[in-house]
Amino acid sequence: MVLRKILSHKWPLLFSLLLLTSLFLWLANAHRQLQSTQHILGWILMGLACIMTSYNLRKRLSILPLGNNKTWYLFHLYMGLLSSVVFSLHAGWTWPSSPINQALWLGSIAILLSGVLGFAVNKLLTPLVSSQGERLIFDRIPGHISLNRERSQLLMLDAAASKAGKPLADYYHHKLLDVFNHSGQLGLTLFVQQKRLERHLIELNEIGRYLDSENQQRLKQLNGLLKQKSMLDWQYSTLSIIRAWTLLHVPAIGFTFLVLIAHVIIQYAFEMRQPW
Amino acid sequence: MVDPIQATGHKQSNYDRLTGEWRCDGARLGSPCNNGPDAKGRCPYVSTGKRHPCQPEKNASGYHCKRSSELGGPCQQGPGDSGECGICLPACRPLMGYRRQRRLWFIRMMALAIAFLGIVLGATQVQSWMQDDSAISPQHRFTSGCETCHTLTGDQFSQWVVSGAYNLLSHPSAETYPCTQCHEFSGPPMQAHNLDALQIAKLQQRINPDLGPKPSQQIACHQCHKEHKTPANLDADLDNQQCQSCHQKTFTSFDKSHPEFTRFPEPKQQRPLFDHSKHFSRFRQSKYQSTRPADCASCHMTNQTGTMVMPLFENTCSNCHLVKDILNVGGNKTSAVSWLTVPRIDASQLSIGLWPNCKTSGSKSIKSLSPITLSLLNADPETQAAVLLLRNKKTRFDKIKTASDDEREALTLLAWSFKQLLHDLNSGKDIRWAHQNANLSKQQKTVIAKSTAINSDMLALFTQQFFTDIADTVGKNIRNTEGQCIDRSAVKRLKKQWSKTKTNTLQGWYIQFNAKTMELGYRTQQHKDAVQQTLMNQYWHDPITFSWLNDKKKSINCQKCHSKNSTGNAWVWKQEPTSFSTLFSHMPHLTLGLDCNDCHQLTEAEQVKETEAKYIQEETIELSDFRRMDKNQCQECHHAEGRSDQCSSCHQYHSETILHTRNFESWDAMVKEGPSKP
Repeated sequence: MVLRKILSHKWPLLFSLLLLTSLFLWLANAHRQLQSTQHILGWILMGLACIMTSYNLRKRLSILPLGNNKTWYLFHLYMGLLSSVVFSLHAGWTWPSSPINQALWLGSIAILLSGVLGFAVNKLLTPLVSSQGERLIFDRIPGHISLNRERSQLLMLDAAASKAGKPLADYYHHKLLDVFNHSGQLGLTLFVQQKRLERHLIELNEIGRYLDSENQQRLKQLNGLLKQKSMLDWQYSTLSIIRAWTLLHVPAIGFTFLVLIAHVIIQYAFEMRQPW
Repeated sequence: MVDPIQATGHKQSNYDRLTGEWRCDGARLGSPCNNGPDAKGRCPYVSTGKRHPCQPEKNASGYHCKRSSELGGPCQQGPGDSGECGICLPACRPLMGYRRQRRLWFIRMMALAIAFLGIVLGATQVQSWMQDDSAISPQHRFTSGCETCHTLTGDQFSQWVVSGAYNLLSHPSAETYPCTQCHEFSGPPMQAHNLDALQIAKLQQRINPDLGPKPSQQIACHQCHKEHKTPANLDADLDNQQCQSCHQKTFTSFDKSHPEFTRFPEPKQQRPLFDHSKHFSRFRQSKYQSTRPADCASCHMTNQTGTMVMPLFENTCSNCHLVKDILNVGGNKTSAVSWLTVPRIDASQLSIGLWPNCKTSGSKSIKSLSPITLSLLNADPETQAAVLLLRNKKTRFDKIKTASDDEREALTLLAWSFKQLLHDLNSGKDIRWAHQNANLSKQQKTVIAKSTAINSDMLALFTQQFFTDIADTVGKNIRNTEGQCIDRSAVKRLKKQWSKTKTNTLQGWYIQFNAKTMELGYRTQQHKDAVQQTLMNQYWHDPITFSWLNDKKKSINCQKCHSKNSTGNAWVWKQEPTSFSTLFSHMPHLTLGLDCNDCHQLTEAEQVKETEAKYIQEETIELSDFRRMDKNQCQECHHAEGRSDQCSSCHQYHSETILHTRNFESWDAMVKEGPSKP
């Protein structure tokens, strides 16, 4: 399916393959001509980094007809893959000797790994979020959780007002109050929320036999609110992860960029250039 | 059934600035305020102090609420009696937006990078931090630091910035490469194969014009020798593609398409001349049987790199060929070469100052001067013209009265030029040497410097004894002193006086003074005599001087074994490599059990005689007394599936096997000093 999606965007793929072939031919020719392939690879890497960084620029200049986001995203993805190959040829996977190169190596690896993580997270989690029904805006989920809590509390206040609704109110007070009070969180929520929800729904169903018809209606509404809360928690946790990887990817670019400038200066200062 | 969570109506959905830098904290509770934080992230209710949603309006019935419908319309309780709004909006601490968080982390990481670079690059030990000795080959670990080789770089980061910009913008020249300060090559160091323009021009047909570096382009050392990449082994590892990028004839493998051998290992120039057939046949029954070479290994041996080394004369040939035979001495032969011959001029007729050799007998024309004397004098164009005139008119130096004015003037010029020559040589002004040595290598110049140093004592004596007025005339640029012959008896006394205090020869140098001649000369002392070699190197291309130097009657005859090279552009003392690029290592082949005769087979004696005859007629002919090798012999083992068939297995890039390296007093001195800065 992923392959089909990639193939459906032929231009980025064709362009990337063309670029890859051109780079290979260029390097092979440079190698034959006794030119420094390390030097060329370094500048190729720099060029690829600029192309990938321009993806962010394109987002800021969305008014210009610079192609759609999907195409740019695929470019970014392919250039990233190509960069990892060029990086391995340029620097290798061995620990460098000087501190500057060590920092640059770490920064580059952090960018690469966070990029791979981001790609994996997006590919794995985004379809899951979409499959959970209503797709919510991440920043608004805390507000939705708050409203959900208020609605449940109002519902249970009404239930507590009647004697028949007391089991429901008691159960809410002892078992569900924490569930509704907690805002969405990372961690176990992703893994345990479904089982916890099922347990609560079973227990609420058990309580239902002691309720009158009016409170049966409230129980039904509470069930809905509980499922909604569970969904909100899950979406919040999932979307947090989807969003959090860029907090590693983008700052690592800033660090690496400055070290890269120092690296280029030092390389040129100490290099023996080709005489042509 | 639960309703959709997100309200979509414009009045139901709050205007929550999701992409803003700051968001109202009320968003966490699902009820962000309509104003939202300001650009600096402050809650407007706190920063402005206005926490009421409306400004009640007064009319005839008193104050009434003016809250807008977007904010819920007029409130139920309404304003107070004094007109104050009864609702106090809650202040909050705005939340940081996602984009601002990401940018903040971006800036933090950049600050971290700046701090890191500041610490690393600002440290006093920055170079030792940056320099990893383990990544440098042992012979290049100079204690004087990186700038030993990176001469323009400096040791501060600010200097690196300048140097980096300079390197980026400038076009480097060969002088900027420090390798050549220690390593000397037989040709231009940055040219392909160290070949000069003339040699490259000859190879144009073998160079592919579309591929590889152009012949005019330079090839720097570091393009093949990766100093910081392969510390254990600086040898360049050129692959076949790199070799064939320049060469016109490309082929896939040695066994299938490598050209047949036409020059390996023969024909090659046989210098010094050595007849293998004679040594293995004719001398077998001779009186030299006890000392003649028993087999190939008696003379030839491999060095550490496995390359066959040519035998030294002292270790092999001298067993039979005695040094005195080589030097051509014995009987009346002295193996002497006259350097400076004093012209026998009748000084009384000319204004040439004191002159010691005017009343001797013997030849008294320009012919009496040794070729070396003439060569040195001819370095001055005016003197050269004077010599030519005297030669053409066959002027006799003792018959000045009958000479024309031109001849007298030429003789005067010759005499003063001779004194000037002595003065220059004594005062260390090697003007003539510098002029004549312009094309010599550094090694040859060193030999000449040594030889002139040896004869400086003798020159000083020669000058002090026989040309006593040089300092007062030439030294003061006075050239009109009246001529005066030094009395022969006075000269004899001077010579006797000098002979008592000095030996007649000083490491081969001598002064000869008799009725016919007066000269400063040199007698060859040994095989490989430095002075003799210098003379040959200096004058091999001058046919007159050369034949005079190789006169069998009085001098060592170097020409018997040595000669010019195959291209005729240099005198050869040692045998030249078969090909400038062929590098054959005998060692691995010998360890396989191969015998020398398996590959090297002598040609028939008649053919040897024929080639010898050619050799005598034409010195630069290439010949050998071995049969040409067949490529099939090699490709039995060297093919794509067998032993290595890389170009570099048999061919070397540099035109010399061993590169000259600058001499240091010791290894420690070299490591400590490093190459000198340009």
